[in-house]
Amino acid sequence: MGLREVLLAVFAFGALAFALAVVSTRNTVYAALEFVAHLLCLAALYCLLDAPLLGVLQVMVYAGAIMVLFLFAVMMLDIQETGRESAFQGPGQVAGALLLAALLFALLVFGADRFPAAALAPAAAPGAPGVGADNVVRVARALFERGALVFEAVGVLLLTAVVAVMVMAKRRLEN
Amino acid sequence: MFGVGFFLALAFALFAVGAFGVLTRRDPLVMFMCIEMMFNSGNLALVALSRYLGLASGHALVFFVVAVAAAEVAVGLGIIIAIFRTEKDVNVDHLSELKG
Amino acid sequence: MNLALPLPEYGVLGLALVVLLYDLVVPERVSRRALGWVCALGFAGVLALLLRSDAPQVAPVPTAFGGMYVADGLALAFKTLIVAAAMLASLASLDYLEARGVRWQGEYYLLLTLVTFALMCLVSAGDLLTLYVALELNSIGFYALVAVLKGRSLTSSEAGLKYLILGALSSALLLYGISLLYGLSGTVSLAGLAAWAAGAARSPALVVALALVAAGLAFKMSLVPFHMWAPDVYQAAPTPVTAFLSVAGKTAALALLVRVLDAALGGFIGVWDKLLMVLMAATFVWANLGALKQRDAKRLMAYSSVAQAGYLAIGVAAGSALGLQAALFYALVYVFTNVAAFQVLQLVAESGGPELSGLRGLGRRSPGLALILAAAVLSLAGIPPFGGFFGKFYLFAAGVREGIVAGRSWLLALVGLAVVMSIVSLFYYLILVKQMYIEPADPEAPGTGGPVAVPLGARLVLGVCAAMILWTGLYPSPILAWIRQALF
Repeated sequence: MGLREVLLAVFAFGALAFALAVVSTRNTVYAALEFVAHLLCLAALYCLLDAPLLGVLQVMVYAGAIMVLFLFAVMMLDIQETGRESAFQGPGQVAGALLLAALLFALLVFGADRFPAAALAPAAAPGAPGVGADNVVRVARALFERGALVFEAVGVLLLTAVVAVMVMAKRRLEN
Repeated sequence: MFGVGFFLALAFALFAVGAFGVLTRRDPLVMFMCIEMMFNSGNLALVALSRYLGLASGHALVFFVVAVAAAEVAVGLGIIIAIFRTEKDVNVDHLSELKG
Repeated sequence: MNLALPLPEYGVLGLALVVLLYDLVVPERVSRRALGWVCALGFAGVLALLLRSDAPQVAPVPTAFGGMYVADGLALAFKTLIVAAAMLASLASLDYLEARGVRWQGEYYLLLTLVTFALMCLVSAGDLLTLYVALELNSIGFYALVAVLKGRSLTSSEAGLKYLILGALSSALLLYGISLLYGLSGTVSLAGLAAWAAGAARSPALVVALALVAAGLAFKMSLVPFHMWAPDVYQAAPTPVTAFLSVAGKTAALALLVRVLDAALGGFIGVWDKLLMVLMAATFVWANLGALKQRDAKRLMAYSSVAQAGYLAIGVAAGSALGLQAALFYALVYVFTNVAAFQVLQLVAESGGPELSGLRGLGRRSPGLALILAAAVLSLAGIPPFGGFFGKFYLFAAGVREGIVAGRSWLLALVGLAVVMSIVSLFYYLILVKQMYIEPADPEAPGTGGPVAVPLGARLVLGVCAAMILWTGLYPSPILAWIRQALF
């Protein structure tokens, strides 16, 4: 078992463990911090899966920007005050959700188990998105050669989101 | 050991954990985090599958998903703040004006 | 690459820029009401452009951006419906926003145009990337539009939050399904998927992927059990937004079902049609029975809209050219009938409140409005001579024909259930009619005296819708010819 395998095992375990921690922690601030750790584990996994660009993006955009937004909202709303009662739904709903999640997991693993992996290209296929500059070039080609329309649409999406957030969160001055 | 099946199984597990969280938690902020967890599990599956297919188009999709998720979180937090201003409380159980 | 192909989309984006600049330049104290007229005129221009362009009649359909944008007849027809709905929604919003003193009118119209742009990109999607991003773009716009009355009514922002959480959940399901499909097929383009589906073996992973994609799309279409958001959101959103969401959102979702399930994954119809039919059967039973006990007019119409989504999906489940034509015709009728119904309810609610009892005595107070609402709900119930009758007839006929020709007995059973539930739906539609014409007006109730005021914008909406309800019912052949030409 080489270093890569050890690292994969560690980060995969970390991602799952921190995910469970997010779901079970009562305190919202702790949950947010655990979620950051979960995202960092995923970023490491991306890097190990030859997607360094996405790994870096995951750290900057997800673990950085999005989580700062989350923590900001947590602090601003001061959720602790309202969190006196149980942070969970009633026991009936928890049991139902547990059953549903287990069913979902079983269904999905049933699908994965029979995933026709043999039909897929082997890991070291000549065309695999390689590490380093090659990966960035290939993703950039996928993004800008064929995906130009989607890239524009994401621009419009960000404009929509900016306007939507302004409508939601801002108060008119005269109010 | 670390074939495509391993990563898919890990992604499925994260997906199920996220779904469980959305269904059981009351705090909308934690619910959002759980939804983000589900998006991330989809991303993980995409990255693993891209690697094993030897294609970069999956990476492009992940790129867009991250951008979309950021926008969605911003709008969601905006709505939560708007509700908090009116109600001073963001526990989903207390939001029950709509019933029937 | 033909960059001039998405001309209608450029038009709508240009309109969005005009709205943005108007809001920036015009001083704050001036009312933004004129923007409603600007939007309506802009949409009318784009609509004229769409109606004048001919659907491509030869096999390789024109595409742009490396196949990510498809300009086939299906896209053209659905875009026409979406832009028409957007035009009617802007006209309906004019006085609604003004009467409520909404301070965000500039942003409201901007979001309306951006959502329309997203829906247009959605029906032209040739690729799962375009599809996913356009779907999220329109969802984000709708989350904000639903919650735009925040501060004025808690329910509006509450509905926005519910819609957002459930909407994001469904997007996660869809994304997961897309990632599995990508893993199985190695492509994200819908044309590539179609080529792959023609020869691919079935595997459990494929069933899981199809189930997840179907669930994600069923949410946008509001099929039971992915409908939980619909009654709350429809009731609490501003009425013009409810009307727009229920018609444009649903027709775009229908186009998506056709594109993804029928066109791209048609090779697996034997797998996904069972999934879809279970959802549809649940939709027919739950929505029609649930509507019977509603007391709020908008909520009743929400249940009715969920049921209508089930009827539309018959065309997709049939998977035949006839089924597709029938679904498109029904979608066209549905757009105008539903907008008409919501417009009347909006006007009545201004004086009589949101309850069904607010409609009492409307037959005497405002005979015109009562007549249009009666025509709209009877059309939705499928009573001749209105368009809904032909729409349902074509849909059921297409389902029966496909069921017999292809020997799909489950489809026949489903159409049977749809017919029975269609009769049940007559009860709750007639409750509305009974309130207007038979129930005596309560003299104590507020605003039950004189006729309901109908401003110019609403007059235009009602005029267009009433004309279309009658035209589709009395002389549908030109419309059918247009549909056949679009879906050659």
